[in-house]
Amino acid sequence: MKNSSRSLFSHVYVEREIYDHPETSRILSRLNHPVIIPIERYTDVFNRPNQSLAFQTSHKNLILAKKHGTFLYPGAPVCHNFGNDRFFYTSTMINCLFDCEYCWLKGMYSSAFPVIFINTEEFLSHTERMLEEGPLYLSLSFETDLVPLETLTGHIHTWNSFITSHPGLTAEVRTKSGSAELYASLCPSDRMIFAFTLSPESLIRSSEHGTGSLSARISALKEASRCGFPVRICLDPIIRFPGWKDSYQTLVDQLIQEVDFSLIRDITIGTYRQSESYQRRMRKRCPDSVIIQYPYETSNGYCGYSKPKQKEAEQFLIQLLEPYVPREQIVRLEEDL
Amino acid sequence: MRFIFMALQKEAAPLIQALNLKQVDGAIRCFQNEDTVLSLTGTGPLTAAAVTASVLERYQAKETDLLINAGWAGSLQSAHLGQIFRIHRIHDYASNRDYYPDVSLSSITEASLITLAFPFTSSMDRTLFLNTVLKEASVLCDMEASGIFEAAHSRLPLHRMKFLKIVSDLGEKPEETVLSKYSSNLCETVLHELEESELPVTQPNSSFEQLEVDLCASVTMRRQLRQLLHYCSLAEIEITPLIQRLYEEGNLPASDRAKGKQILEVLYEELLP
Repeated sequence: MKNSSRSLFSHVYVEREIYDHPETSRILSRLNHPVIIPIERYTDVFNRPNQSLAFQTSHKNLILAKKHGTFLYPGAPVCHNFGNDRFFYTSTMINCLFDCEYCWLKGMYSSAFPVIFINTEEFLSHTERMLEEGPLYLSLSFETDLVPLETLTGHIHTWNSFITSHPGLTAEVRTKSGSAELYASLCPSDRMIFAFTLSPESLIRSSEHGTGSLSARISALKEASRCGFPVRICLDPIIRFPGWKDSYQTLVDQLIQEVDFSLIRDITIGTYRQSESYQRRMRKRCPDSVIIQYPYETSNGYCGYSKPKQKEAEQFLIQLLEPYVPREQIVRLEEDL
Repeated sequence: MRFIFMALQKEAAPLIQALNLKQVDGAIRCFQNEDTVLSLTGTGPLTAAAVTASVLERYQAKETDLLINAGWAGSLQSAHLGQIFRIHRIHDYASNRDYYPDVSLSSITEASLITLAFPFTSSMDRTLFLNTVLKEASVLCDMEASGIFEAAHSRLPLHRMKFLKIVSDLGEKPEETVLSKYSSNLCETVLHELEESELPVTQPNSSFEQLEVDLCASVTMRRQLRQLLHYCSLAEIEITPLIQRLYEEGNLPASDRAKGKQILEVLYEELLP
């Protein structure tokens, strides 16, 4: 019942079922005496109606839960599958420590609180069963960014060990973190891809709250590569804002100066796109977000820039990169679909 | 508007005085000033829910409003007597449901609360009873909070509902003088909470109603135009010179909806990055 000094999470909701789980104890011991609130099911808190994302983003509480039901889901059509037929995603954690204005999670979930599932062993056993049917391409951070909370969860290390002993599995960890310390502590694997989303510095400062700076992310991707991991650069989503061309030009200039592209597995390019229903919900929840309030066009249930604006943005980036990166290494979403 | 719900007049008296609230005529006992309504719910979750729903409906509560439920509560621990708690979990005993108002870290100690439809008395096997229900070492109990939460949570965001309780007894009826002191202490906390929960006043966006008319806009076009103008305002994109030019060139007012649509496309093309 006693309050504590401020910590990363001031309050932690813990499912009663996992109260005595060693993983729960381990995670709680790493936090600075948060207020612990026992709950029956994480959905009792996570799915409450009328939650304020703005309030919860500035007062982040954590939920510790046990995952039930489905553990692996088929990848969404708006995502790159890199030619993999068996493209799935899994979520040992949902929601994120970072606060990117345009993040689709704001449209998908009614809560901003991160949920950590502590039964990682069940995620692994389900993946193992899926691997019996053939090779698998698995996105590990589809509904979260695992890197900023790795010291708390250890999920990346868990998957890293699993991948090493399961040759049919290729996995992607996508991040906006600028932390470079993680990679040296992992076992190198050419089937564990670290994908770094890069944005112009002005966009990072205005709309990707809490994420690593552009320079930090570039340093981190170089470190990941040095430590023996394939690295993907994601210029996705491309956001059009006043002065966007100059900003993306500066970003590419910095990449050209600092990155040896021969060490980069590929570069993905895609403009902002969102499911229509998520976009509608995000507009309501984030009335002051300049990115969300852009008057996008709607087509086939998805919102995005008009076709000419989308094409112009993608072509612009491709033209900037082409002199330095083989064209086949640049992946556009539409080529992928 | 700030809505305060308390069970009894004795609990509310110091607050009514401090905020200079005047009694309002009606079946529900309400006291109000220009920005605050304090309502007496009576005891029990059902009557509390009925009063809350009625008051929020009558005043057309909206999501920027604030709700505070404050009052006396029972506890099993004598050390809690006179202490004020912020409630982070409300368990309704009758329905076995849990409610979670969103809380942020503050100087007020937090607790879980169980709402009973009957008084908490010393004749009950209270320790066994409370610990069995919530399975927690220490909890408070009252007779209103779950009803108030249930009635209000569809209208107000979870972080705009605050539940503050002062432990007044351990199941025995306390002396009047003690209760009076507790009510005064609780009043101070509620006043502080009201101050802390003030939201900045936002200016409504200026409208371009004449432009909508001059575009012969349909409902869809109006929606598109408003979205465009809202975006331009956020992105600090100057729109007035373009609109003026369109009037000067005779493109506005549009002669019909088809022409209006073309002008809307020009606005999209020229204003959007």
